[in-house]
Amino acid sequence: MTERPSGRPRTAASRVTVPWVRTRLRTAPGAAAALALLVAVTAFLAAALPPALDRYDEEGMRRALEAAGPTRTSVQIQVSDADMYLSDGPWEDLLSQEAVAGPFAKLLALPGRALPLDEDQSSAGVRTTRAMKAPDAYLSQPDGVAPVFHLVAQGGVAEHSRLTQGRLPKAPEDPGPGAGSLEADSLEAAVTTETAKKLNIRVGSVVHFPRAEGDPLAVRVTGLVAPREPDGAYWSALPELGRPHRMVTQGPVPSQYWAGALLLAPDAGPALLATPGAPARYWTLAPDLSALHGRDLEALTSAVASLEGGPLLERITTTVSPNLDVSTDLDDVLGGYKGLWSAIGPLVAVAAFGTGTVAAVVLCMAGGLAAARRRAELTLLRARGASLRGLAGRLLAETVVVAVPAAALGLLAARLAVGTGRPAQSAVAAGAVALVAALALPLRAVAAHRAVGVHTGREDVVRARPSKRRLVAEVTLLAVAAGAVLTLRTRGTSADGDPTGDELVSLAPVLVAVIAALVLVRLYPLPLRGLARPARRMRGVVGPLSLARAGRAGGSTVLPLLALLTALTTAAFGGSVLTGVTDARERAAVFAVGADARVFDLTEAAKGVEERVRRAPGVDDVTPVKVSYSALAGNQRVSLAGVEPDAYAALSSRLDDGAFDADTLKADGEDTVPALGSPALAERFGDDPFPVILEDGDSFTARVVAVRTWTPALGADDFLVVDGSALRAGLEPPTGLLVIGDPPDAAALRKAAGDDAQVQLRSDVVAATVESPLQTGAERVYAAAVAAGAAYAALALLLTLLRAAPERAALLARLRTMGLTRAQGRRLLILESLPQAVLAAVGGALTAWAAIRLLAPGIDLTTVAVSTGAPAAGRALLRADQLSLLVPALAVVALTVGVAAAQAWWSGRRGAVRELRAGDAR
Amino acid sequence: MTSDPTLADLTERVAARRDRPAYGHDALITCDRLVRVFTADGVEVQALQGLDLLVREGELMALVGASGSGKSTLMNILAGLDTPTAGAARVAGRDLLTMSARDRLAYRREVVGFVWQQTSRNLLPYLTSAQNVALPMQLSGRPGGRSRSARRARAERALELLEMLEVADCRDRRPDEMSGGQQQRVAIAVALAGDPAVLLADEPTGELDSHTGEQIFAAFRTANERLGTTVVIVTHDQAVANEVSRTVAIRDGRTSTEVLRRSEVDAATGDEKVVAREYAMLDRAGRLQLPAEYTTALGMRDRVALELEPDHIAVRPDDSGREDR
Ligand SMILES: Nc1ncnc2c1ncn2[C@@H]1O[C@H](COP(=O)(O)OP(=O)(O)O)[C@@H](O)[C@H]1O
Ligand SMILES: [Mg+2]
Repeated sequence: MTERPSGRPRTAASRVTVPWVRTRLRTAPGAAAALALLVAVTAFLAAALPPALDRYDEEGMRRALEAAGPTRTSVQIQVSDADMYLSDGPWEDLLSQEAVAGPFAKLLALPGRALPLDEDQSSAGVRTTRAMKAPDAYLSQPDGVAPVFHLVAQGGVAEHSRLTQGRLPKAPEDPGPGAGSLEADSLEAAVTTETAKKLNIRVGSVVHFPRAEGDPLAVRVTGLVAPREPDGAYWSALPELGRPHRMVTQGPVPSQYWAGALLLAPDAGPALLATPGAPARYWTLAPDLSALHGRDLEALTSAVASLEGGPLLERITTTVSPNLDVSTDLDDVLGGYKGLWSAIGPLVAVAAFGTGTVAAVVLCMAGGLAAARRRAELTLLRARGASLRGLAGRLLAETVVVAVPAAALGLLAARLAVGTGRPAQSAVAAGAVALVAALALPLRAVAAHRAVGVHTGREDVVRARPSKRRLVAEVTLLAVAAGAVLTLRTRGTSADGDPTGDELVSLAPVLVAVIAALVLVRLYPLPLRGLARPARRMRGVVGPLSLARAGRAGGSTVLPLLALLTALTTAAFGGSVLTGVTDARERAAVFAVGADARVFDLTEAAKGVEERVRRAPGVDDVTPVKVSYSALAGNQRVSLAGVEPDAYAALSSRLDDGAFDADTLKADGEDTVPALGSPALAERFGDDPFPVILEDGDSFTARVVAVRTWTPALGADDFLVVDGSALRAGLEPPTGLLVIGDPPDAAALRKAAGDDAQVQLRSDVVAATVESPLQTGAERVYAAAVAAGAAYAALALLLTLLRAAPERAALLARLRTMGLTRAQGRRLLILESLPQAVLAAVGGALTAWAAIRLLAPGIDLTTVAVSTGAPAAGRALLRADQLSLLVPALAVVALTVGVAAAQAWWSGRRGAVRELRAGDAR
Repeated sequence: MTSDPTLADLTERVAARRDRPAYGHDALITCDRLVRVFTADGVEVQALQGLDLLVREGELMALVGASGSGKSTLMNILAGLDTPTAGAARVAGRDLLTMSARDRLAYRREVVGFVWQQTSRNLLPYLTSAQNVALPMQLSGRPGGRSRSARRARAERALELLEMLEVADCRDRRPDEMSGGQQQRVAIAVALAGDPAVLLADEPTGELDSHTGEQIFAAFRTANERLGTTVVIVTHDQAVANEVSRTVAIRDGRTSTEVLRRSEVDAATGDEKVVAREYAMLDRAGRLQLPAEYTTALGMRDRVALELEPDHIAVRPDDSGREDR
């Protein structure tokens, strides 16, 4: 029945068949570019996180290992006495250079990739296991005690040092079999320049070691060597090898003496049998710090464990000797680092999850916006016979062409800019961004065009019908989120509970935001509609109109609100964490110093120090204290401080733990002196008076009137604080000064205090608490996440307003024709957008507050704030920071109002013709 | 009116009813007591209130009616874009009420084509005319749709259609580069691309001046005559209504009257002239809608008197009240 006219010129079929993607891209290059930009930036951020974390992780671990030093991080292997006693062969053979070097090569290869070793810094040799006294008078003897030495025949001294004087030692001539090197009574050795300087050794000096029988062993120093890397493992894994140590004798009167090492020729091992020092072979395996990565922590830990008592140890014993000790503190160092990491990890995850959610929402909103803008076109396509799958496929092709290259670009940029760690995670993150970006539009379109629409302008009215399916979905989501939050709450706050729940903890702000968004979106039109009725009686048009419109717009979607709430929550949470960390650091510093600065160890001679310190720049006030560290309370040794009650009470109140009422401490000439005591003392003496005797013989009776866990002058030891006037000599002269200032000038303070006294500044302590790159890294990641989250939230806001922009422009144009002035139009738009903005702001602040309250017990900022080793000031808990709550919330309101005003201005300029064109069904 | 039927009469009648062909069995489009109720903001609007309509294959007909009488609603239902609330609707043997989503898609691809009033909404703004025409063929993704020969076939068909509708010179122009009339003719080509059995047009000339409107109408006639497509046009344009052989008027969601035009050769003069005759619709329940002019002219209200005559029924104003007085 079809009649085909013929005889027309043939046209290229390609010009008729639609190359969909190309056509679309050419039609809307702006939209494609915007999407590409959004995806590229998001992918960049997502892909940058893993390498950034990896870098902090790696740096943090390296710093932790470096801080621990080679003494703790290297693995020491040493054969025990039994090795020789149980052996049949001659002992000389057991100490020969071959007996050392042979196993060394095998040991270096043993741990393999699990524990990469630094061959250059690893060392092996024979050394005396007992230090030997050298009573030669010319050696430095600080307190008249003779220094002790180890004799060490370590391989590779020549390569690891520079000969500065003399020559390197030689091993004694082999006296031939049977002669017995026990007879050898002279050996040659080198010493490091530092040992030589400290112990007063020169080339040619002879160090004598008395032996149980026969002449003392004489060791002649033939040369001085300067270590090339004195801090490397080669020179510092064994204490004293590179530089001598000052030791202290035990006993009633401690006296100092030196401990050093004499470096023998590498093949002089057997000669050590002639010493009383019980020689033994040893191997020091130094880990290659540059090859250790935070991400390998698990493997590393297990490798170390295996070394200390597992399969690796077994292989070492079979390689070397069954009688040996393997020891290292590497596991402790790694464990400490792991603790830090697991404390910081969840915090970073909170930021990542929060910002990730906001970014995902924004991507979805961008898809939704595109779907809304192209609604008519898609409806037409559907009506003309596009299948749902065909439609989704076309849209997917469109977005994929844009999103995938953009994400790849973002990924590439991230890898170039941030680093190359964790490539798989980076790629997955960028891929996820591309996936969300690519799927958002097709999925939204499929949902909207599932049923083929009627091609009229009326669909809005129909669509406004609340869908039951949506309600069910929302209630389900609400239930899931509420359940998760409840679990989190009831699971308790085991600070170091099972790590499986960490995702839940990290997701909590998002979950709370989800709940709040779902509930608020449903609730907030109610009061508005309630307001709209009385508002109708108001004078003027703008007020009632905007209220009515805001109330009608109640069908606004959950997504933008969710984005805003999540972003606000994350920002507030992050802000609170950062403030909490700063507070904790300040607190720890106050705890350690007691004031802004502290001058202590003042001697009696240092008269006038107080006056000088008072005049130093930056000093506001000085509180003198008189401290005695070995007072006796009853028969217990305590630290006692005499203070001026008023000034000291003011100082103490800077920390809750220390605050007390000055009047309670004032001694008014009665027999018992009121005292501030530590809990242990209070428990011991209760309310009873007890005698106090000071070093200088002063004595009085005291009674604990108040108990504090901490006091500025003495910290948190066992302490007593009394009114200085109760002391015989009063506060003159003080032994310490607590300085308040803003901040006190460090150099001036040191100068004023003189040489003998010590000065400690709070700011120095604060600076010292930031130790690990992991901590600074966590803070940086957090700051970046908060900034990105805020940017995305702003974008979400803009997208929402953009979506409603045409409709608003049309309304404004229509109202203009009815005589609405420009100012009224502006006011209308602003007033209309305000309720939503205020809702988001208030909701965001509330959500953030709730999330912080919810999470605070489980989050211990102490680890982040104060690294291990710094003085503890109790657990630093998370508290809602008002500034962090309010500033982002107000920013949302400001941004909304700004955008509304901008739109009013813009549409005022553009004129109304376009909006009023006939046939535009709006 | 009649005496009580006997049992034998009744059984006979039932048997007769069963053997009678179904309503509209020979029609391409059958609407039987079609009802469509919209619910918006809790208010129910009855757009169609039991509409009956039969359209035979190959017909070119017009639908007229006041604004809001339900014309667009009917067109959307026939286009497979909307589902009726109750009643029956069949087009080319397909039941519009029971179709699954997949059937509906196939129906839109193969059975109907349509043209809307807003010229800009019939075409994708970023495609050329030829591409717009080829798109439905591409969308329906027939087997081998990606092959070179299929593409060539599509291109050829698109150009044929454009040529037939006299817009071949616009084939590489996008909608914003064409006049409204050209756009609408391309839209007809698009609607015809899937080789549909029915072409529906909802006020296709509404945005155009009367001269262009005539051209558009000519295009529909071309499609009807050359492709044999059944065409249903909703129109306000009396000129258009006068051009077709059958015009159905819709009032309050129901078909009310129908005008048939026949050309007759006058026996005396030999001239050919068009005779138009207005009919009222008689629905299957026997209800009849009388034109408002008629009833007001005679002051008929509430009740009329009927009388069965051998070849007609007489309808008179209710005179019972006058007798009482
Ligand atoms: N989507 C809809 N929602 C609510 N009411 C509608 C909708 N579509 C049509 N109506 C109502 O149905 C009636 C018929 O409308 P329509 O079919 O568009 O009339 P016409 O095209 O004859 O002017 C009107 O009263 C209209 O208000
Ligand atoms: Mg209509």
